[in-house]
Amino acid sequence: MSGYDDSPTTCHLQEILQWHFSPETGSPFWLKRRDSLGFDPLRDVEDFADLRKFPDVSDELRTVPVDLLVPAGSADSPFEVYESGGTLGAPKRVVEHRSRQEGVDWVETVLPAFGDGGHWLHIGPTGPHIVGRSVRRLAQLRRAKFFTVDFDPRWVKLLIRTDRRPLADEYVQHVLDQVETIVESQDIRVLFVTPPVLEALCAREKLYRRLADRVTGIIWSGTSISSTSLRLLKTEFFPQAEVRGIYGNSLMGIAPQRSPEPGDTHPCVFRTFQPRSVVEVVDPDTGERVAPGERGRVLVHLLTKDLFLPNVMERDTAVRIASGLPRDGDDLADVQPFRPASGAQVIEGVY
Amino acid sequence: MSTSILQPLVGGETVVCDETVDLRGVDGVPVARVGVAPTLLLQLALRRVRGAAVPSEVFGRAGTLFAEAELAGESADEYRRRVVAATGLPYRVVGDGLHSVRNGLAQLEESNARQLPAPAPGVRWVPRGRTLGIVTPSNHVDPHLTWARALSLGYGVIVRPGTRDPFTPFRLAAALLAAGLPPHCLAVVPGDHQLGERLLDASDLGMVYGGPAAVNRWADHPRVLTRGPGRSTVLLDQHLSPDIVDALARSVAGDAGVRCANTSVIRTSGDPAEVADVLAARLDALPTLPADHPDAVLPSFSAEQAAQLRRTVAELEQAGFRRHSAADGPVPLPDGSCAARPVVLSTTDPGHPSVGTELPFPFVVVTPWSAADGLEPFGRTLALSVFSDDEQLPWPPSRSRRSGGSSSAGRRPGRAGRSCRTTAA
Repeated sequence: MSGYDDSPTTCHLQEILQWHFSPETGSPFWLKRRDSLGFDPLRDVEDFADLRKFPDVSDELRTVPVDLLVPAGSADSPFEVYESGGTLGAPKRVVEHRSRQEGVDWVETVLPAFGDGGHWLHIGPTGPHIVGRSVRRLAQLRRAKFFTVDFDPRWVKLLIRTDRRPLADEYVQHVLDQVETIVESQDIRVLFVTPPVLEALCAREKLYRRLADRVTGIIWSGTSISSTSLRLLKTEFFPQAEVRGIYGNSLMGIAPQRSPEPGDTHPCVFRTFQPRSVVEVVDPDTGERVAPGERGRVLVHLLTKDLFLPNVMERDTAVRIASGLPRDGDDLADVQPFRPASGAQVIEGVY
Repeated sequence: MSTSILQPLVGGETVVCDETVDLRGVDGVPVARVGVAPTLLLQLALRRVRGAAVPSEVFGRAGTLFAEAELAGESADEYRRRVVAATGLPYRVVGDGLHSVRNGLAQLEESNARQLPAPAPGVRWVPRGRTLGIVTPSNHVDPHLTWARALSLGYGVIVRPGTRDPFTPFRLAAALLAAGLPPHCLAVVPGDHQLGERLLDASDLGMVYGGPAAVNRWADHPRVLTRGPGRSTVLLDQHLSPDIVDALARSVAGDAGVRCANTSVIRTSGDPAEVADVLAARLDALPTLPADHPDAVLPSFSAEQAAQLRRTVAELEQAGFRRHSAADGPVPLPDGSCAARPVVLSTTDPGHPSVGTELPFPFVVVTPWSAADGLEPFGRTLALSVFSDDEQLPWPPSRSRRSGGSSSAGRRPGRAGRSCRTTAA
């Protein structure tokens, strides 16, 4: 074998393939597939472009027993189970020990200081959704107390799917009632919140007044936001706060908005935790990577020791931003739900 | 024709939105690009907009500017042409609307005074709220006088324009601001359907113009006034004279037949088929012209809307209605739009559920009525015009109806013409 690139991405990829496809360390889920792949993952995958050879197995995560996902090499480690939101059907399950936490540690270094004080309030899912644990860890890394409000995104999506939007609106008000109770007595400075809930928060005069001059940081995530809304948030509603977005999901991990760079034409550019989470923006019809600046479907490769998930087509589209070396994954801007010409309706809901 | 971008206006400031939609004319050619306001911009407007005591001269000046001046780089004629292109309203009807809004603005103080009880010592009229949110229609210019009236009564007003006619509210706003309206009194925020719902929900008082679905959604809301289909009706209890045929034709096809005060049902003590034949012959003589022609009297629609309207007429014919007009709906024009030829139908069943169908062009159904039926068959009727010599017609002189404000069913024996009109479209 020759031609191995020695970039960090390629070295990391080879390490991960060795781990997941060696009988001593790999997971039953991948080992039992090895012979039916039609290629040898340890010989025929040289760099991450070759990951396209793998099938997209993410649909199986809806039903596979989680024990089969855990790599033999980590069998003694305490693994946790998390689930996706279930936007497009039954939730997908992932297992996680340390890989994603290390990603969160990196995210912490990317986010601004947010005024460096006060507590965090997470107005978002916890439970089976990994985002709750991730934001908790971010707050802890900042030495902040972490407040949460229970939030069930699947219930809201069900209400919207079944044409009960007034009830969904009522649920959001119920969430905000709890937020109000917390901020009345606690020194909340950083909010984790979804754009629809943040909009509803801005419409509640008393709650908004309480937070407008106090909040130093807002992390928005979970649904898309228009660039006009983002501008209004910064200039009109929370001029004192640093407003940053986080893109991501249960499969790919979280991709924070990176700091602005010269030449940026998009207000928010998201960067994944490379080389563990590599995304490509591809033409949905041909599968070819689109040119920088073009919109395409988000294709994710999760390359961690806890879980190997190559070639997963995400529900979203984004504008490709070149991140550096040609062999590296892409940065993303202007993420929007993918709207297929026909098929399932994507309901963003409030998370 | 310019393709400028119409961007939201909040408190006198234009807010540039990155998200825009192209507004196409009835011939498919783009007329303008319109900014789409996000929810947060509506919230900003709700936070900033509040009413003020506005001197009545402001409205008079605004009316003149609205009808004549170049505003935001747009002449009155350019405005007319854009509204015609986007809505399919005949050029002349838009011009009539300009002048009637000008006159209405000049007379606002007087007409407000007429609608309020007489002044009394120690009594002061105050607005019921701070803001009025209004979803405006695209079928005529006149209804925009309504929100100007709210401004004159001390409300802050937030307008979500109708999809096809954002031009009128922007132009009227520009005229009012140029005439001296305090900027914080007004916002114009184009946006999607949901934005309109949020506006009505969040304003102290709301008004919505729309079809049956929009009206039903808000019908029982105590703070929202609905302006929907008028199901305006003529009671014809006289022999057809040339004067009466003229009056019937005007009530069906005046203002291009687009308003809720245009007659959609004629109930007659005579022979419905005979009335329908005579009326159809009169309306069939109207010329087929593109909306921007100075002599156009019929509205134009896009090919897609026209197909939908023809389907509706076909369904009525299949349901047993007899057609008397030559046309069965809109017909194609060389520019790709369709001119809505008048449609006159009749049915011998006055209780048929489709009697009262209202279509946005000259369209009427003729059906029998006898004195023994009384008032019952009229149901919800915005405007009822009576042609009768019978002094003993069995109903009260005035009656309030929920479908579109109050209307009166007057007894004007022998008089050929409508007994009432409202400014609602």
